[in-house]
Amino acid sequence: MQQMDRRKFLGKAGSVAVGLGALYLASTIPGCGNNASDTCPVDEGPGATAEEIPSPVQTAPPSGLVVVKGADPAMMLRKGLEVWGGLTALNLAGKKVLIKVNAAFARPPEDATTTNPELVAEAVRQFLAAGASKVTVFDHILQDLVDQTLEANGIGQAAKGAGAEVVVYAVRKPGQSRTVQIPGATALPSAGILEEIFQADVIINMPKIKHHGGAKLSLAMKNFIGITQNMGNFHNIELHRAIAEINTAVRPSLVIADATSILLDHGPGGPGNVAKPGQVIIATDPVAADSYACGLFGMAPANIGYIVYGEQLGVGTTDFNSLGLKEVSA
Amino acid sequence: MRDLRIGRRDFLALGVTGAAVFLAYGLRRGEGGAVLLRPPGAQDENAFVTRCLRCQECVRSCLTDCLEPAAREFGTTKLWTPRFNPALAKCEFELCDRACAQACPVGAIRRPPDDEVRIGTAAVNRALCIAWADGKDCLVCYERCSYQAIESDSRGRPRVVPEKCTGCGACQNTCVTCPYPAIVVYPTTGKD
Amino acid sequence: MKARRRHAVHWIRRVVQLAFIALFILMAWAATYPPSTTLDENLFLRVDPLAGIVAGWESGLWLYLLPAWILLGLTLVSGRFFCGWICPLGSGLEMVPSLENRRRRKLSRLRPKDVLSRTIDRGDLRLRLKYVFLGVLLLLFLVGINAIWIFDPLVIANRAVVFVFMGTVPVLLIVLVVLAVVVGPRFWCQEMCPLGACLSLASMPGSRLPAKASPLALVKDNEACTHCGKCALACPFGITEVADSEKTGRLAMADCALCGECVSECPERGALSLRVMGARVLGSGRAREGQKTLEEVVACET
Repeated sequence: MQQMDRRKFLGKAGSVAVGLGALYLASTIPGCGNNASDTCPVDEGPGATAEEIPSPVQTAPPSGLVVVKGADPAMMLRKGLEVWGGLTALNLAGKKVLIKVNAAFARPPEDATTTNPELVAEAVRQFLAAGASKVTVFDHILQDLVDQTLEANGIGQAAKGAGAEVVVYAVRKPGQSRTVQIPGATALPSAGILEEIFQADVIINMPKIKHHGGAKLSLAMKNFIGITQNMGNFHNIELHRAIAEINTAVRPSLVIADATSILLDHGPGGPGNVAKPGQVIIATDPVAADSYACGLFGMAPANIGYIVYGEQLGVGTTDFNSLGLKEVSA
Repeated sequence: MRDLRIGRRDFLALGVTGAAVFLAYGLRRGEGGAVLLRPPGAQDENAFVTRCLRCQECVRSCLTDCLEPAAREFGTTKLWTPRFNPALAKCEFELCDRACAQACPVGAIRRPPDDEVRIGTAAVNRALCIAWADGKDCLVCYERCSYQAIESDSRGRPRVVPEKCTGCGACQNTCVTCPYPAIVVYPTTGKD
Repeated sequence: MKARRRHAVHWIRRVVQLAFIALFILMAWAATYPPSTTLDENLFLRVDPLAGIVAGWESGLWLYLLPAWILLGLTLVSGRFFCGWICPLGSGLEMVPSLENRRRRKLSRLRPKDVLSRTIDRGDLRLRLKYVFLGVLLLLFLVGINAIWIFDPLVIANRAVVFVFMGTVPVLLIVLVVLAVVVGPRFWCQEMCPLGACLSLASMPGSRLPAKASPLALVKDNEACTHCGKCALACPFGITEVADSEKTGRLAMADCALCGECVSECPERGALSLRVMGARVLGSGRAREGQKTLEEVVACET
């Protein structure tokens, strides 16, 4: 051990001072213990015009509602599409199809909180058989763990097994989005819409029909909150009006609503009482589909704010009977 | 041994200076008011802080990355101990097989069974909550709670049911109110 | 500056040190979810006896910390080889370019004997600061204050690696690196490290064991030694006893880390050697450039 003298002592004191200075400096660098507090999500993303959003494919003649009753979701869907008769009119050959499902909860399908995986798988198969070049099963969910959630609710495996690509974003990690101005909107003048919507040619809305503690019922129109980057924002403004307004900006070519089993209470996450109406609702008009669906809970369309706004804003009509209602069994 | 005597004096002087500055560094707290929650099984604060080596193994092993090293604002004695921050993610202690407890080399994080986990208790700040204060339709905390520890009252406003709350932080993580969430998990007083 | 041809033991040890550093970083990197079933990611921390002290005497934990007890046992019969060959912090600091190297190069132009007469460090158990540190840390821990986390080298290293992965600045490591640059690469290890102190203490009860009972031992043959002092000058830990000792047999010094730098520098064949259970694995030889090949110095004699 070398002998220490005055000079060495100063040298050592100097090095300790340097080290402590580094410590002090480091403490001011963000990330060194300045932990991330809750930051407000920002609607980032380049601006986009409404024209860039895929428009619904017009099927002729204008379709009404088809309600299929049965026990086997796949068979019900096949029968329903057949009766609807619009699959060829959708002209899916070479098109990219995006199916917006409800995969938001890590509960098994029998808890009726997410879209039935057999139904999702059959939809994927049908669209691929109709010539679609790619089918994407899509959602933006209120969970941190996507893989575990998709495994628990069965949608991940069902979709992949049927040949779809699965794109699901976790709550704090949405993908790229584009900010769209919504003309005439008062609650939601602009929204960050996720990039996958713009990349698709045809958008299909496959909601789970269920009770919802916040919005009363979660039906087709509400399912479209999940196409946005900042879902929380809907609540900050005016929830029901905002739901209707997002549906004016993005319209699906088809709604396939899963009412095979429905959650009657403690929605959206459950667990709660589950009823089994055993129905699949196929429609091109989301308001009409929702108007029919709320009847399954003993409610009228006028009870649900976003259905009323939806009709006012021209998303569709609550008078589904006027469109023509076909009820079939499968 | 003359050289050693001089050396020891110098060392002690340096050591005292260094220790003093280090403590001062820790005492310079940030804007305070932040809540310090621990991983599930580490709720006995004194026992935990005495054992914790601040090695960051638990932070690294977390399934949802909901742990972070505690910042200066919590003081030098707690510097770099693992802090559960719901702002980062929900604690999924039922799914992760207690990765944090497994990673800890000194057993500072215990493993109570799933139904005995009490990281803390959530509480709604009715002045900040947009359902309470502004009458808005918002129950996202209720939506995300998987323990049914939040109920919606007759006017659609959230209320915490403390007996069912595990402190997992899903509600705080999801709350749409920013930058300060309107529902926050607080440490439950007393030992578990 | 002439390139120096180094002895095999130096390179072998460097390779081992780098391998352990790489393993250490790999384990910290792999410590994310899910916990591995094959590689125990916190193994380096469990091999640390100070962590064992913190964990305390609890059922289950005693077994969990078996690596630490094994290390203590091996240290008892060998010495603090962990410091010389395995510790990622010590190894990393040893490779930091330091002003001490420049000082030594200046000194090496003098005759080593003249240099060494200035300082004497027998490497035996005496009151260095690290023992005070260890004592203070243990006392504090007994009254419920844990300050071990500030000074335990494996914890410092692990935290530093994880902080770097997280994009945070590893401040304590930076302080130690500055110390290594300014004062000396192994200054921390020799004078301040509480784990080093713990291992030095653990090695003392076994200091009288003969080389053939020791898994790793430094052995001197006084017949071959010319007392030139190059070994002492080479010692990263500043121990002069290896030059001064007149012993023929195992040199078991509390602070010797069995790094073999003395063996590497020694010009006299066979004067110093590192032995495994008495078998000579690496022995000193004529260190003139180009004179020795690896095969010639690695000899297995019983």
